[in-house]
Amino acid sequence: MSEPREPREPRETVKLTIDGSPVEVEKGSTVLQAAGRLEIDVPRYCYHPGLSIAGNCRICVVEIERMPKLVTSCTTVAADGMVVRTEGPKVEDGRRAVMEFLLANHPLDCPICDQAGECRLQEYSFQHGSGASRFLEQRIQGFKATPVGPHVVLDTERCIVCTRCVRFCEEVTGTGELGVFQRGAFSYIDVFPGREMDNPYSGNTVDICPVGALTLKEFRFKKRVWELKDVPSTCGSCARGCNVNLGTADNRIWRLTPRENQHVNKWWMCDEGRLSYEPLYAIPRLTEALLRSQAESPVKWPSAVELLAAKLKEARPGAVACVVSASCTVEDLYLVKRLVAELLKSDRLVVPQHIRGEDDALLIRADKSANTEGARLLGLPLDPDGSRLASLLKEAKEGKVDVILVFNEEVAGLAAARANAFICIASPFRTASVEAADLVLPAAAYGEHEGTWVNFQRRAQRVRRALVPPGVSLEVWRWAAEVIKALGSPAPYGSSGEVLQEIAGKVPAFAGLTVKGMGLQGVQLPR
Amino acid sequence: MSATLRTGVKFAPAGRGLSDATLKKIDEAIARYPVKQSALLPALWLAQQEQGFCSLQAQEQIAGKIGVGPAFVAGVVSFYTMYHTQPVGRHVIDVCTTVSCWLRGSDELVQHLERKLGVAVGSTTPDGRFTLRTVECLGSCGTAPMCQIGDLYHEDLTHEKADAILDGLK
Amino acid sequence: MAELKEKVLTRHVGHADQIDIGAAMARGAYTVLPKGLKLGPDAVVEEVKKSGLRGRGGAGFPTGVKWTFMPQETPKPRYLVVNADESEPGTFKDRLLMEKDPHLCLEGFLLSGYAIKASLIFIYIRGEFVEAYQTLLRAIEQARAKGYIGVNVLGSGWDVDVILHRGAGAYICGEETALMESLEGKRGYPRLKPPFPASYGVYGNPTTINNVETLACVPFILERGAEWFAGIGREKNSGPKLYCLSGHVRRPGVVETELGIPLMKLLGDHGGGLLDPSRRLKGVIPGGSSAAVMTGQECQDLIMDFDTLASKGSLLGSAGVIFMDDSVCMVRALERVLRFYAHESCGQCTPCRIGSDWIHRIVRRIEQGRGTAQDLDTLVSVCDGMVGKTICVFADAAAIPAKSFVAKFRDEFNDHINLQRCPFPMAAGGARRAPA
Repeated sequence: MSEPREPREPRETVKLTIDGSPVEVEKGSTVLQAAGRLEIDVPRYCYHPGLSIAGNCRICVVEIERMPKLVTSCTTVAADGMVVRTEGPKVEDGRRAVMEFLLANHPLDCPICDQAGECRLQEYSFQHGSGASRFLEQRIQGFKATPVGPHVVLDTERCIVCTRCVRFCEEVTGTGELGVFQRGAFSYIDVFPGREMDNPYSGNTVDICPVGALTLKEFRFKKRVWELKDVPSTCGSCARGCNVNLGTADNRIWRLTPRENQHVNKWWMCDEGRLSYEPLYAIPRLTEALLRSQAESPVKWPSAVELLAAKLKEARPGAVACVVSASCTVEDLYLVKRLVAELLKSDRLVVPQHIRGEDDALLIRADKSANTEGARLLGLPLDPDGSRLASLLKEAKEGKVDVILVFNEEVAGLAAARANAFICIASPFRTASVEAADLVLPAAAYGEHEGTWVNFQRRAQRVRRALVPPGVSLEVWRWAAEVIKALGSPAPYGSSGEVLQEIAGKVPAFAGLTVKGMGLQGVQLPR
Repeated sequence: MSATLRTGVKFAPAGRGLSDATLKKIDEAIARYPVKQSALLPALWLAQQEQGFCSLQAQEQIAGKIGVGPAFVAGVVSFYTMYHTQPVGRHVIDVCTTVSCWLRGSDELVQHLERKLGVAVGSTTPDGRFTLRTVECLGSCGTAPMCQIGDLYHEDLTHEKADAILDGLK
Repeated sequence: MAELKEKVLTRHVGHADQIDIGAAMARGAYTVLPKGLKLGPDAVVEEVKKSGLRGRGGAGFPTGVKWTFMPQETPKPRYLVVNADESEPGTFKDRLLMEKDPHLCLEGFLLSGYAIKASLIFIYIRGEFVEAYQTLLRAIEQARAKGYIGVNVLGSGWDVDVILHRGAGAYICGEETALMESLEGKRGYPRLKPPFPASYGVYGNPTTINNVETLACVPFILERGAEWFAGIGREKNSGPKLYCLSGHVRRPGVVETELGIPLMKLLGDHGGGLLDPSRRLKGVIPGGSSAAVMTGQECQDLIMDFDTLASKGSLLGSAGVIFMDDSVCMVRALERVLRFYAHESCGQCTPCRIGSDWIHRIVRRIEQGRGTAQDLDTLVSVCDGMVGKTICVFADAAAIPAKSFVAKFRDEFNDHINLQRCPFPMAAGGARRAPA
């Protein structure tokens, strides 16, 4: 999972025909996978490429010449010379039958069901269903809206017992919290009485549930999915950088869902990352530049930049300290380094590390910063044990520092250590530590900034802007660029892409890196 | 329309763990098989022998010994009809009502037993003596109608014969 | 067609002490085992193949051929699994053999295990068969004490152990792959095929699963020869056969006769005729409830063998022969049959999970006088949505009989729908509603 894939030896292949088109696939592939190569999307509920094959939903049936019955394409291994039909009256009849069975006991929940708009029952019903129900019998009732974990709510009436969720907890997380209970038409999925599905990846069961049986507590009833615009981006909760989609509407994020990236996160993401957008709406935002000396009334930001530039010019040589977050983008860090190390000739640059817990066997990294590797590749000094920061604060207390710059970090004890230093803090959030600042610059938060992060695998990935930041909030690199300009140096960057262009030209580790090259799946930087 | 048709296993709330003696027997059962997990059904039988049903505690203990999750064990317990998830009467009367027994009067036998015991099928007498259930084919179609109580089959039943058998059970 | 002149499988079931190894051996038990061990496994397989023995569990597949599916060379252990999960409605023959002549069964299991070079024989017995379980358990220990089970059996170089394993109440565990899942300690969900048990069976090891009665024939085949066995009954449908008579028959019980006996002879000569001789035979389920029903008329010249019944759209199956006279309401009978399948569906795959329950409820509603004009068409259509579309043939076992009842007794179904009540208020089962 963490190593880049080596180029593969050519494997044995088989050739078959699907809907009249020839296709060649690796030996051992299933007919369903072969159809996928031709971009034929055979309907499926229980099949998921990241889980074992169950073959229980029976909707992926196809017709194969010389085979008397319909077969499930997800369980049938493709063989040389097979002639497969994924369409036609026999197949349609099989699918129609499965749809009728699934809908027989299914509650009429569409109007209140989160899955509406991304529900395979709706989709396949529309494509393959018969339209009217012939089921006149009494429905079997189950449990509605029952929490089965801290983040997941179960509605057994909607469940089609495809067992994707059960298999996920068995095979991917190894925690096995879910089981199928009873049998026959009374089968239902649940947790052991008194226990819950509390593994750190429980939210993935909501993604893979093809219907609305499993829903995310934090997203329930918030938005209809067709109102959301999905923006592809990268999660910033740890050094893995799972690929995600930001579900946005009304200029805010309503949910995060994982995007498939076989190099980074396969199909999954952790719950902490999934909910990492919540602080954006829980913690008050900074929206204007604020000057303490003026009783914290807003300052026009060009004046704020001029004021800061003036303080920096006044400062003794090298008496500028800077604390910058390892979750800043490569573009942010590059310009901060240019400002502090080159222009201001200071070596008092600290990049704190946030290590919590341990790397787990799946996705979670102990390093909770999004761009530690990017900082390392740019030659910024990392501070794993906090000693650099401690010594910086000590020097500040001893009066050796004239200006302290803080970018997107919470520095404890800053106010106490300031002596006579001028403190400028750039942050998206108005937290208690911001009170130590003489000058506050509002920074763009997650979802509002665009740039590059390098994950622990040394993979460069894009984090994308999906939202308009509030007030005059700017990305860190823009603040740095403005200050650089105010100090008389050129910083002609119109976009983060232009900053990256310069980085690619000047920093060997990033040679050849472009925005386009990173695309949606990122790019592995060479070792 | 009849009453609500609901799914959902009823597990008895808090119970006891299994005795050391039973736990030891479970270990012995595990040792008999090439793969541990095969001892799951035997372990549940041992638990039910001790406690009269498969309590949640017992399920968790067995899950630990077998090396599977408790939800998996509960799924197994609730799949098979002979495991009870709640305490039952001292004597569980399982009357077969599948087609061959039905042809020889099993329905009338069930109604007779309901009247005699004063409980409906699926219930336990208030004194905790009998639980009355209907079950599917017990493989005794040649001696229909019949029932199983505990380990014993009671075959070629007439209402009188059934009465005598029940009267003799404490 | 050669008749069976004397009892074979059931010859000693009348002796109360037959369950004891001493008495059983005095009557010939375990005399064939040493002979088989001297022949060598392949020779045993050949003899069973030549005999034409067909599986008596339900499918009727040629046993010797099934044994050849086991891999020639494999580093993995091989297993024989004895399917003693007898749960097909109308069937009780394996129980008789296990309870009354366990050593015959064991000798058959051992010879068969030897033939497929098994190192372990699992006997999966349904949980309800407690007496059979206890009897077999004792018999196994007795056989072990005599050296018939264990290391280097009778000096042959063959090591084998026997594990007797109880089920816990699930008809589906009689399906060979669901049996394996249950044996492995899981819910009894049938497996996807391929792979087949001979290549991927219990714990992924090569496995053959056979029925009790099937294996009980093996000692006789080896003792008396394949030709003797093939000479009983009909071509390709040979050997002695246990039929289970139940329902409206005067003498219900297990009957041993030649495979391929005419049904009316089975009923008359062996069953003592209908329970109530003043009544008429209305219908027969010939092979356990998974077999399509045959009308009284169709029964008149019906031959009870695998191929004849299959050609008539039914099955010999488990040879559970259920007789219904004209006191029976066929709608009520179907409701009772389908209730079994609704209760026993494992629920793994969509068409069976929903369909088994649905078709039962349609028929129950019709039986209760609340049927609608579309119900029969819906019923047949739902059945068609089940047959051939599932992981195992349980769905077929429910749907094909359902369609046969509707096809052959359509008038009765129509009467229920048109009259909005059962026209036989005092039919078998009485006027009161059966418990749900």
